[in-house]
Amino acid sequence: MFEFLNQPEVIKTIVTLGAMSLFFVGLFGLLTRKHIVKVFISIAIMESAIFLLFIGLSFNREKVAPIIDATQTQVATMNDPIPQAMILTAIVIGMAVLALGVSFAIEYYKLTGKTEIDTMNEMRF
Amino acid sequence: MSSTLFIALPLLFGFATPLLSRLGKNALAYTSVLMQLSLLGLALSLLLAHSSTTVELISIAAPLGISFVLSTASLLMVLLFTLLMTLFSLYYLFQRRANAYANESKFFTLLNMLLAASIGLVLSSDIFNIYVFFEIAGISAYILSAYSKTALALESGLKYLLTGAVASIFLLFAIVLIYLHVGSLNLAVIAEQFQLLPYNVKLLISLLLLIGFGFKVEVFPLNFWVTDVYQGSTSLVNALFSGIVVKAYLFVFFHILYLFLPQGEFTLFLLYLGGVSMLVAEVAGLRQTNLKRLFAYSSLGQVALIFVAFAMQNIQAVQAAFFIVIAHSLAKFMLFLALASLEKTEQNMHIDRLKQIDSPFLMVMMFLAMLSLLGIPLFVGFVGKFLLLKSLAVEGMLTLLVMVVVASFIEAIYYFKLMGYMLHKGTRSEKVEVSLGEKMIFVSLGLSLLLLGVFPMSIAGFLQNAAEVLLDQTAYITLLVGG
Amino acid sequence: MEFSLYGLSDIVLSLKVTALANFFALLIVLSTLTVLFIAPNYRLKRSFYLLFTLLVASLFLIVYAHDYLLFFIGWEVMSISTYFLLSFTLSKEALHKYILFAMASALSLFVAILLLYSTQHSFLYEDAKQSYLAMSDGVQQLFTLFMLIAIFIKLGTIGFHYWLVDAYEESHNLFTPFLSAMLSKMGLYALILFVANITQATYVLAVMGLLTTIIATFKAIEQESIKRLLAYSSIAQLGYIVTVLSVADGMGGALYHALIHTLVKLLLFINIAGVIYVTQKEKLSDLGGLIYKLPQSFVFLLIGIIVLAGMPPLGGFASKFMIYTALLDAKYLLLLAGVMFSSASAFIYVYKLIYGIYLGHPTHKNLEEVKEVPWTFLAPQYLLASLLVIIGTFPGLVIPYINRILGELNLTLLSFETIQTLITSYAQYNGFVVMGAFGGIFVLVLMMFMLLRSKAKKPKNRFDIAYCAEEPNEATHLHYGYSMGQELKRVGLIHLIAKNSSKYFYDFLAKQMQYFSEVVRKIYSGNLLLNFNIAVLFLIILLLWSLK
Repeated sequence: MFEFLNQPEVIKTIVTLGAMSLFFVGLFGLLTRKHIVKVFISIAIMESAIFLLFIGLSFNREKVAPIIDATQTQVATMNDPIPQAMILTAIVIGMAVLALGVSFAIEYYKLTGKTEIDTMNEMRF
Repeated sequence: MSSTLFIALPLLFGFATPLLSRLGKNALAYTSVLMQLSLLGLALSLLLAHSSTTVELISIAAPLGISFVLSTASLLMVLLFTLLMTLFSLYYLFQRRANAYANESKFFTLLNMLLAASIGLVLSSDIFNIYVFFEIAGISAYILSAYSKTALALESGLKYLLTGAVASIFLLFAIVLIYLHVGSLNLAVIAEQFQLLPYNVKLLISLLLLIGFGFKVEVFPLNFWVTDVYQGSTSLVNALFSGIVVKAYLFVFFHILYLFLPQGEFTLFLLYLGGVSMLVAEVAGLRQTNLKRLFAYSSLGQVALIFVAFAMQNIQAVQAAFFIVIAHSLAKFMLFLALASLEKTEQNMHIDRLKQIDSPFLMVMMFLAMLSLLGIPLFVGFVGKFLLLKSLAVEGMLTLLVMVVVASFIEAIYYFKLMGYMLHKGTRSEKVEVSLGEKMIFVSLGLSLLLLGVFPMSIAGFLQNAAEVLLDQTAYITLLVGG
Repeated sequence: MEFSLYGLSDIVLSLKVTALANFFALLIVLSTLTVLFIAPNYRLKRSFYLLFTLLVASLFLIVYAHDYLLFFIGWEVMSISTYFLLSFTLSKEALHKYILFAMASALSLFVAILLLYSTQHSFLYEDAKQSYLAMSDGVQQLFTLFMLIAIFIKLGTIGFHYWLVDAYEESHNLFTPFLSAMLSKMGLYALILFVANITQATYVLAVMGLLTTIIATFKAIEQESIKRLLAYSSIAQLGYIVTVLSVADGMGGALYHALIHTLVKLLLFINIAGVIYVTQKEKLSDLGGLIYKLPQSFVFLLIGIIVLAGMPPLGGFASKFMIYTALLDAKYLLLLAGVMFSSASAFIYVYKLIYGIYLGHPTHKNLEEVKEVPWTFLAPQYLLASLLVIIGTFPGLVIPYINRILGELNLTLLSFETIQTLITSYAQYNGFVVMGAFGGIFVLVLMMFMLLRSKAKKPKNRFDIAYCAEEPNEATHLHYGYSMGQELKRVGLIHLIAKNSSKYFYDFLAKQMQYFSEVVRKIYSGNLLLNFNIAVLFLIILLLWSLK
């Protein structure tokens, strides 16, 4: 019944639309939420949207995993490994930044008791 | 292979710091000086060995792998960074403050990561590598900013991190779009094919890159975090932020811009963006009374000036941009180090405290730095500003010329206000001790400002060379992709 | 001597010895020497001398530069070294005021010379005219505007004089003579270059010059502080020069008056410095009756004010004479009338000056122990006064030198016969004869005075004042000239002039600027939420703008 979904064009459209809507959800969160953890979650959502977009658009159902062994030697029939490698790296970096951010937020909360980003104004100008 | 050392050595040193710190009390500081000196020596020897347009290409696992390009332009930046880092290590060694950085080895790890990432940004010829270095520089900068773990420091670290994370999302988005359309991450390959992309895609990618880098290069609507970060971080770290980090981002932003858009499609827009940034920053700084925050505003103004110079996209202006980069790096570095020396007793100095401080030496040094920043003749700041304004006048951009001059005037208002406070006649209660080593560093910085200002011809040829190399898209493509 | 700069072939710099440059260099040497002569009386830091040397070097750079870039470099270095020299004595506000105006002047000069460069790609004086002609009309006006702002600030032309009076008043007594005699002359030098090389801008110069002379003269009259009074007088004197530069043949008179003004301002300020040195008082109302205590100083001040008022027989008359005839020659009768009016009004303040210090009756007791000023003050005054007397006697003496400058600038030469006579197209006079006549009359009057004086009744003490009906006490102002000139404010026009409108204007400007800054600063208040929204709005605007 849903065979038509297997067509690459349809998959790509769905992935693009889904990723972009996810991105805008994240952006909306970033622009409206004040709680620091919610802001971090929004950032994470935006990041995931881009990861999804990239993987989804560069992945081809017809091609196989890019592993060269005795049976598979044709590079042309393999999926491009670069996007996946890139996204893995980006995920690691993104995680590191978020973890660092959360640790800052916790320390800051311990010191001042503030969690809302618009009230973080220790600095008076 | 020597240019990989610029990245590898600091990283190696950075992660070896826990071991080195066990060797003795000051072992870390001494070895750090030694390491930075060797990097500086390496950069200088490369400079002397290749007098013309030096190009060194390092490819690891070509053609898909990583490659670094050491051209005259990037060598200039590397030279500047290593020089500043050497002075920084020396300053740290001489300053001998007891408990400011309790966990010294971590501090040095972060410093060296920052240096490695800044140099990596400048050298990379691969857009994903640029992203990775962008993040490494970012992470080490966030931690350095929040290092002292006071509420102020944490707030500034948090703000820095939030904006940095948002910036990196936009940058990653741009990279994804580029890869989807071009199928390569190599800057040269992208540059070759970028012109052929449909207009809307080109536009979207350019905008995303502008937003992504815009946060980091501190252009107007995206630079709101800068003042908070400078105020919350220690002056020592600020010296690096304004001396090295921003310059690396600026360089790589315009490097990418020149490669992708050699015809200068957005020149006018970028020029006015820079002009407006400069005006806004200077006007906002007018009533500032916190010194660090004031210097942050001034940094914003100066960086916007460099932005304007780079955005002109012609050889004279880019040469001027390099002059301003050097002038601003040296002078701001000097100002922040001076502030660090003054701040031994108390963080976050109010402008009024300048009246109390009794240290003619530091005052004179700060005067030198400020006069250079203001572009007074006999200082190197003048050469840069003059060359830029000359190029603006020749191109007939009179509105922008007047904008820049008005902004400089506003900058003069608050810098001379500071000087007025420093020249205040009255009893001065706070004696500030400056050790001989510190004095040597300040004097050498001040002298270099003066000497480069009086004899700008000594480096003008090199800078012009660098400008030509940076602007030459075809040579870069030929080098990386082959004819 | 030409050389290139910055390793760039397109910037040619040049230093050149010209007659005009030599003329100003001579003035620099004269001012420096006389000022250094009185320096041993003050305890000064070594850095003062260092900065002073830098200043003098920058002045030489300004006059010997033959292109606008070197000129600008000299101009900036002059402004900055003056800033640090002034910082020894000025209050924070006055210092800030000075440097803001100086920076505004330097930056507008910068814009002007860059505009000049933009057409012909040359900073040289020779190419300035062509560069100017190659500009479009709008740019020409812009250029003239910026150039004149730069010059007017240095000259202290009315409206741009806000910094000058405070700086003069509060500057070190050693430095004030130099400030008035030399630094304002650099503005004049720039104006001469501008008029001779580029364009005359007749109406602007005429109007500004005339306004300056009249307003500054009346402002001078109402001052109580000696140095302020002389500062306004400086402004007014330079106003004459600006006015006369607006007419075609005014250059000779301008140069002549520049020379005289340098000499007389050095003389007066050194005289005042001596008086302040021995009395420690700077207000006219605190002084008085010093003629018997400081007789030599009195004579020098007398010479000074005769020159300042432009009365025969001294040098001041010669230069005023040339200014009047130049204006008459150009048929600018209204200008002439205005200049004569302010010149006549100048009598009031010069009278106030000499009366306030040397004549009248001292209010303060401690003036009774004052002795004559040290010889280091007197020696330069002897030199300057004798120069002024010599020029008065032989007004033609400097004409050959001025002619050499005029010839170099391709202007009509002045006629010259003997050194005793000064000849213009309308009239001539023989300085020797005039001097003889005046000298004779003066000697006669002096003898009569001496004879009569021995018969006059001597007062027993300070309070023994014959014409005073009441019994004065310590609090009474005994000086007859106390607050003289204030009553002039009742005259409607003069009241209008004296209203300090430039102060209100600049204060208003500063206030608006601060409000503006206060508003802009809100962006940087550290509210990330607000700022992210601004950033995204920016992105959206960019998208819409580029997709249209």
